[in-house]
Amino acid sequence: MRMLRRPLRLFRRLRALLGRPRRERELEDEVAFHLEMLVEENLRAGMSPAEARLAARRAFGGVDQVKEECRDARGGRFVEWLLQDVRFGWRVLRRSPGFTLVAVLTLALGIGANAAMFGVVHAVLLKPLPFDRPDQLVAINTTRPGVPLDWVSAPDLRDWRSSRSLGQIAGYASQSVNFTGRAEPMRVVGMFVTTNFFATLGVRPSSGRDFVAGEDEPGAARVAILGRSAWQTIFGGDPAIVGKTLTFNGQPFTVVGIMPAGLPPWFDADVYLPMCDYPNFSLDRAKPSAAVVGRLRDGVTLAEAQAELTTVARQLAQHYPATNRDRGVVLRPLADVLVEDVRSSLLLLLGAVGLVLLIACANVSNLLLSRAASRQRELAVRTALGAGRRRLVRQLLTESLLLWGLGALAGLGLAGPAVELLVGSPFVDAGTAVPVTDRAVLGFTLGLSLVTGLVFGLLPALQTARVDLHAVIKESGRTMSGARGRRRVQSLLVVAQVALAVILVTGAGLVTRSLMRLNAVDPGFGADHLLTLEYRLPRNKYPKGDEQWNFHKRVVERVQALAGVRSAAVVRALPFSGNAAGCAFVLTDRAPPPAGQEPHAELNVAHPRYFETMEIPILRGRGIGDEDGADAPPVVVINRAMAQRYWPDGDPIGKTLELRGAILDGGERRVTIVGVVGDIKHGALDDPTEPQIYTPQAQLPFIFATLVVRTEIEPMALADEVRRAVWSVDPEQPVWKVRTMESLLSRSLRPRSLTALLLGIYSGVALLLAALGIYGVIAYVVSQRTNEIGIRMALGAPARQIVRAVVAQGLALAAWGLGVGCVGTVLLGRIVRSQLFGVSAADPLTFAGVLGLLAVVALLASWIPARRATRIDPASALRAD
Amino acid sequence: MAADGKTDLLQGTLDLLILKTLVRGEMHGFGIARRILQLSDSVLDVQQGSLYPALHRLEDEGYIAASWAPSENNRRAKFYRLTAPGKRQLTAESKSWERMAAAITRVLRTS
Repeated sequence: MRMLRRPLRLFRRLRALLGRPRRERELEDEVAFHLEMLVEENLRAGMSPAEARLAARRAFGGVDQVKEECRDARGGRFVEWLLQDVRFGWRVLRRSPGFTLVAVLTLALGIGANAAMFGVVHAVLLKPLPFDRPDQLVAINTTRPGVPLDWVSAPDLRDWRSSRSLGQIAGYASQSVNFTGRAEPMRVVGMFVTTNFFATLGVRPSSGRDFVAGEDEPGAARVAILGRSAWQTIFGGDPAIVGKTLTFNGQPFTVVGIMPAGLPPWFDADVYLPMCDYPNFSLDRAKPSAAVVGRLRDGVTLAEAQAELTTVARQLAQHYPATNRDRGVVLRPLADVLVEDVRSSLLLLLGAVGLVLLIACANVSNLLLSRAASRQRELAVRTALGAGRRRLVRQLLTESLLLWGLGALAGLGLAGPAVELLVGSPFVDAGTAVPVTDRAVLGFTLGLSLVTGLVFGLLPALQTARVDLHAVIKESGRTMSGARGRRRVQSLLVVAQVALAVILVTGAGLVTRSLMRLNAVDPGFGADHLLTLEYRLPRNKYPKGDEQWNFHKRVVERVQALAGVRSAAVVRALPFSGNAAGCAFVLTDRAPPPAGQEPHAELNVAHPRYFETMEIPILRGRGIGDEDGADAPPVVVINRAMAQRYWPDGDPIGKTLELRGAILDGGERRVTIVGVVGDIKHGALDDPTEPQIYTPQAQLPFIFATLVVRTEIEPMALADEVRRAVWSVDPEQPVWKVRTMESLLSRSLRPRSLTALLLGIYSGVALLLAALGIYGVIAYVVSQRTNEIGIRMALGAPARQIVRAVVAQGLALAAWGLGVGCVGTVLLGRIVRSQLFGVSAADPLTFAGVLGLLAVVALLASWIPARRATRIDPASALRAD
Repeated sequence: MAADGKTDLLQGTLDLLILKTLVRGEMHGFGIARRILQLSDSVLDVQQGSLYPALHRLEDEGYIAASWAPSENNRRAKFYRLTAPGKRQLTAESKSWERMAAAITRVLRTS
């Protein structure tokens, strides 16, 4: 106590200084009043005023000392008791290290998982974008029938600039850029931007200058701004790079600035170039070519800006009906757009770890309750020595909070490495900082621990502190009153645990089943033994279509000649690569639909050997042939879904179509169908099958191509040779994304696999904890009924009967939990639905599986203590009481 | 706590006296001290150094409550009054004091 006195004093003085000015003033007034009364008394006794004051002072004694002792008297006990409780609690915990270890580990798991998940959610979803006033930033897209989110054409963007609600509107488009003039041709990530792009976002180059107006007009001097990481990795962080000239896409650009680190991956690039140098840049209103970000003016709401731009869109539709008649506009908060892919997954996982924590807390609560039995005597003694019930509850609660505090510490320790595992996963872009020691994450973790610790610590504390002195002493602490109440609370906790575990396990089961369903989906082509890479020809080097086609053709010839290559082809958009194109089409053998309502198809541009290389079956007619040259009649091959939709009974071969769309340079093209091939999945395995059209590459040449190679050996083993084969055609041509088709397929499943994996881990932990909960209660019940079981065995009850009775109790608990859990699952099914594929949220097979799994777990968890019950020696059981 | 030996011994007693004094109605600290002095025929002169800490402790424990009001000479003073738990405490403490006093007396008589 003596040791604590000084810090206590200090604490109180601090509190007096900081928090209690009113109380201090009152103390001052009270003492002053007393002094005055003394002075008056002395005056009445006939002293002179000076004498009276002096005498009063003397009589009162040390004013400051009195004040100090008043402060001590007030609230001091609370702190003292708290410290006493903490020290006592610490001793109690140390006395039973096994219990403490299990409880702290359980809590560390629950709290750690939550800290990690919240860290991720905070870093990805909640943290404001690292821009000036980020809530003013909006993503702007156009819409047209069938396309809810389209890009924006350069003229439309220019017309929007007069908007009153948006202060700045900037366009940007990301595309790989060939960087040459150094030892090896390189592909870098390029972003083509309007000159006000960085000003709109509210970031400035860290050295050099920003783009200035006019630099994105054709004919202006070519300037570039480097991204931070490219500046560091490619140019070694050389500050003298500003002012130098570099070659991008075959054109010289003068570097004028370097961006700072910390741009979100969405906007990060190796090099930023003016919009007019974007290869797909067009002044045609029919060709949307840029994504758009805008900044709302101060005080303007999203709805107001949306209303204004909608009006503008309507005016544009009147002025330019040919291109803008059906074009709408949609504004969304930029922060939402950047995370919309991962939001639902992350929130689902956060909810799941929340459930894990609840289960963990219930478990520790239960452990504390079980321990109450063995502490009954200690508490009775303390009650007898004068500790009130409130004092006991507070002591027990302090112990619980100590446990939760230790759990939080250990949990934070676990959360750090756990978060590292998630960075670079589909949910957290590589390079994102997810500090678990961040103030928000720490606050969340401590708050969470405190709240759960109070709730789940209070329950056992209230139960435990219900000490009936007489009963304890009379029954010599062997069996105790309050046991029934405690058992009821324990049972409730276990039912809740099982119910929560059921929800988690069912969720994990549904997501896993969806993943299995997806894995079983046939993509429509042979995905194994395929090597792919991408390249983009510089337009100034290969300006004409036939030059581009010649390049592709020669690449295929060179690769085809390599040993170990079975077949090779180039295609414009490889499935699962993220590249895709589409077009509208009109069937010429029937009445055309109203303008603007033409059906759409995925359009791909393929080499003659594409179907063979991909192993896409030709079902009717022929594939694309070498004869389909630039001067031959234009032909297409369609997929089965399109044939069945439009010619369910007839033969599509020989029918003609009119293709329209940006990919055809806005023109129309009449083509003849020469073949039907099998359907393939293009974007994702859970895509519905849509009409697909293939045109010969010779008839629609393009600078961008994906090379796809079917190999006889492990595909990556040929990577270097294939790359060299491309360079043998042009040593200056960069190639990138050298990878296998299988890696693309598994990448498309990665978010789902990760969700399934994490949910699987969580539900495993949940099941284990629930099993421990059941075990704990049943073991406790057995210990309570030792006496009764002993008598029954003495009277000749067979062991099987006793086991059955005990196990039945465990199963009853599990059944209740299962029932509640199923109701909960049905109620929560909506949340998980977005993650499902080919499985209903009420999938009977999953539910049956969960039922079976839980039955087994409950059986095991109650069988072990039941077995122990039968080993009770009747004689000693009876004697023990 | 070295010098507190005497106060510790007196502490319970002082609390009892304060509670008893307040039975007749609310009073400020000065009044309480004077009243105890008066009732004890000037034997028990409670020092401020003990009185005020005791008052603050009793207030903190909820046995007495305080409010500010004008005093008899029209100054602002802090008046204390007995609360319900305080009344209960007084009864209990009085009983135990009487028991103890009686016991001590018995012990002293048999010598």
